[in-house]
Amino acid sequence: MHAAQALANAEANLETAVAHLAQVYGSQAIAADLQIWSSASADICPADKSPPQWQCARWAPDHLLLPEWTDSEKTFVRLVRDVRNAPHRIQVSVDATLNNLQPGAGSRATVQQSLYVPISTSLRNNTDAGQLTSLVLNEQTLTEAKPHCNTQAWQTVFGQLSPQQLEHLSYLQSRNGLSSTTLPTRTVYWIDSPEVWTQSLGTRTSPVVLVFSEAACALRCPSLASHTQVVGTVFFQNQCQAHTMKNWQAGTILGRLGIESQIDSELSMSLLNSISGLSGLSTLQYFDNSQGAFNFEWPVNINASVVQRVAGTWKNAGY
Amino acid sequence: MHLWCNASLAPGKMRATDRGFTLLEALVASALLAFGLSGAIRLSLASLAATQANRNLDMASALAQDLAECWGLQTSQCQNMFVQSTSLQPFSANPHLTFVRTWQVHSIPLQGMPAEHLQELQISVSWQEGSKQPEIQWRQRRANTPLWVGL
Repeated sequence: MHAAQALANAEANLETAVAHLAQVYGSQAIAADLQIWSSASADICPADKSPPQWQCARWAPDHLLLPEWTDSEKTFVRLVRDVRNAPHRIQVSVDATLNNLQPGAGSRATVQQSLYVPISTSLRNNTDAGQLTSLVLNEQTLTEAKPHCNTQAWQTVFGQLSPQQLEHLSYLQSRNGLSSTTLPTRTVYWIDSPEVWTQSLGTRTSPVVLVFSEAACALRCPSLASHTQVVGTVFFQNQCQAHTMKNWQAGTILGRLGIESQIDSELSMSLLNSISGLSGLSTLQYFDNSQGAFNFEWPVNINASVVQRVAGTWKNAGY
Repeated sequence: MHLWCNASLAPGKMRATDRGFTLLEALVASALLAFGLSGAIRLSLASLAATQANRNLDMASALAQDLAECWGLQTSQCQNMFVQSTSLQPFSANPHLTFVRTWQVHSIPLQGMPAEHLQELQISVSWQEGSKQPEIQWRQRRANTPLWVGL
């Protein structure tokens, strides 16, 4: 009976953790994600799930919320996720011990369940997904009547995935130690620097995404050096400012290029036909899996804006 | 008086080597035997009572778990039961043993969330065991975070 009560207590703790995560991710998902994972450490990770691919954090439960039979000193909640391949999917595991209010004091049990959290979104909901082209431009011209640049090109390339979400994914990978030299490699890069990009990144089996932010494109969007090759998606947030792409060159992009403005017709021709333009060789070739770096696995038609349990992941680890 | 005697001896004559139990000895032995037997019987009875008590505890635990699982399942039958009542018909294992189940559902407040976001079910199962009325408590929690099962 004590074992059954320990299991019920562990389940109660798991439900409490799930409710708490749904609460904090429900309002400001990215801020909550930063706060919850701020204490992430390799020491907490299971033996087979270590950084830089895996991120692990210990959640300190609020004592007021704990079930009354829980020994708060010995009970803990561990959060584990794959920051590279599935940062939106968290495994929550609870190791709970009964306290002295119970005859079975000291009995412990562990249970776990996985959750989807809203820090990315499903690209399947992207209505433009069927019209993939290698070059995506924003044809909007800013006027006095319409002074604000829309995000047409961004939405075509990234669907409902927001710039804040992508920037956060980049931060997560960088903070967890992923880089172009680790195994596995880093796949998401959010770049604020206006410097010329000189690093070749990505492979057909492991494409990357590079976003040159508004800050990077403030004066002139950075070019990709002619010897660099990027496999995946490259995007420039230049806010409909076509002049920031003047004399720009792309190196070799195997995948998709998105620009939030128009570009010179000569550059466009040069890109699409892989010929040498005025600014050097720029090559752009379409590649099926260009979205691989940010197209995370989500169930079809799921509402990715709320926390949801992943079916079939509840597990009693026992003791 | 002797328990054993030799017919060839004249009445009133006894050999120095005669052996046997005196009545007193027999009484003491019988008393000791009776004392030992009563102890063994008491032990057996206590053991039987303990076994029965454990069996009752197991039954009460199973009944509590059954109720807790029903709460977690959220079938319409279970939902109705927990909304409309706080007790079940007593469950009888035999004519002399009846288990009474009662429960309460509490909300655990989480800032900015509706009351049903996190709830706790507190179950109590009691039964009569001689002059005593043992009781066990059971706790279960449930978050209303949805489970994605597809459309």
